[in-house]
Amino acid sequence: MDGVDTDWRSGAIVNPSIAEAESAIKRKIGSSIVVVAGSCSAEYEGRGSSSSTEGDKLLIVKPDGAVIVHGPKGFRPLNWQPSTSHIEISETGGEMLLKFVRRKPRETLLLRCRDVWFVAWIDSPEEGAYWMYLSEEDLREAIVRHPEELLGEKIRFYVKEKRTPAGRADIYGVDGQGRLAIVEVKRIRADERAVRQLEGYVREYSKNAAVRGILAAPDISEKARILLESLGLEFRRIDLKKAYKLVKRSKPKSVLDYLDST
Amino acid sequence: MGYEGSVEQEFKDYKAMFRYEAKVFKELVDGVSKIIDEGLFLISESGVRLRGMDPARVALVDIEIPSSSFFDYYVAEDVDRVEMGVNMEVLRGIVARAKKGDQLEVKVAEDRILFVVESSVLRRYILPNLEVVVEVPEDINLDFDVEAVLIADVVSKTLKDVELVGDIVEFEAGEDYLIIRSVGGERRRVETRLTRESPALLDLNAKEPSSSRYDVGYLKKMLNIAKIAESVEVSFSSEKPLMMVFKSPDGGRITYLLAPSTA
Repeated sequence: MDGVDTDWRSGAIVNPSIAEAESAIKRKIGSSIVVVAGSCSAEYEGRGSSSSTEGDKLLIVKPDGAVIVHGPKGFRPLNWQPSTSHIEISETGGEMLLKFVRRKPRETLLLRCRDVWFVAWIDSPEEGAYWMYLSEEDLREAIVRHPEELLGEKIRFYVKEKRTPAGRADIYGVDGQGRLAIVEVKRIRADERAVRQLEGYVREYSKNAAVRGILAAPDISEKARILLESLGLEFRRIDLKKAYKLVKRSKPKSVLDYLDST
Repeated sequence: MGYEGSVEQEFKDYKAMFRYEAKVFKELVDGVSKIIDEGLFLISESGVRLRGMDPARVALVDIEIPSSSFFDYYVAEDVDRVEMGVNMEVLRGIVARAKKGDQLEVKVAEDRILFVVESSVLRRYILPNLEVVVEVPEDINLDFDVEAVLIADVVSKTLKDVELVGDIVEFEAGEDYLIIRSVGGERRRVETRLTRESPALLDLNAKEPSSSRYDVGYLKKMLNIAKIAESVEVSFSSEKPLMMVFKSPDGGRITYLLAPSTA
């Protein structure tokens, strides 16, 4: 076994024996974030049942009892439990057994590990600032509420996600000159498909009225820009940080915040 | 021994049981399910309590039904209270077709719940008893500067009007008036002004002039419950939560708490 001490709040043991791994996990679970890598099989029984045969697994156990088991592929865990009420760790026949039980609904996750590559932990983990991820919905909301800050002009919006024969357009409004403005919002770099989409919505309307088509995104690809200009559409670069701040400001506070203060 | 026996037999080990007017239960569930996804019912000797918050934690729901309101009521002697965790949308489906006069029987075991809807036919449903975590303090201790009692229908209609114009509603009160109005919207505005003389304002007590803003969507969802009660107690303070309390004739009580809008 090699011990690796990164600093006083965290540590790891590399290539531990099963007994060493067992005792380290027992000592750390409940108060630390514990990460275990090894060759394990997993069985789950509860609302459904599943099992995965022996293979490389990465297990994360958080102090609140949340358990996540990852396999070697994909972003989704093989299994996870939001909370466990009971954890059992034991050693039998040269294997380490980890049993996680959730009381209601009754769910049991059983891991058998023949080899453990490492056990790492972070003691009394501190919660950092949670970086709120801005969804497309949030971004739309920010543009509807703060068109001047984000689009650089005053547009009065009325409909979010209006259904048109060509699909669902993001937002509709009227600009300072009384022209209809259709805005397609993208949270990521806009490509030609986004331009085509916007063109579809605008074409549905422009038969009988002056309509502006605006593509609002943090960036646009060169090809998309050429296409956009040839179709007479407009592009507005969105400052995501600014949008995030605007959304965050308007996010409602939890009612619990008020109860705690009294 | 048919199917009937087998389902009932599985439920010999229940810890709590109650029988209630299915239609009233349906209306409760209908109203609440728009706000909370999963509900935790606490069943004790004194009655049934349902508590929950919406996923954004902006609104809090607290329902109390005294045990005397039930046709039949039982809690095992060896427990203080029995927890019943359900998905509200699923529960809504179960009682969706309840008609006046139908009865609902609920039996709660450790891990499962049996619902029996007694209508022209008998329908039985078994649901898992979910572990629902509710991080709501036991008692809501908040002081309010304004306390008013209103005809629920008037509030409901005003909110519908406000919703046509904007997302935010403002409540403002002084010594002898209460105003509910839309916020924003340059051209169209809605305002309902109630004074002590207004028949819709049953009572008003304003310790100091206050005004506060709330999300009209949430409030409208809360007023869905208004079918059960004719009047509603509305309490608020400037930039503090708004509380709405509905009391049903059979002694039940529904409390909503909504955080102010910061928009």
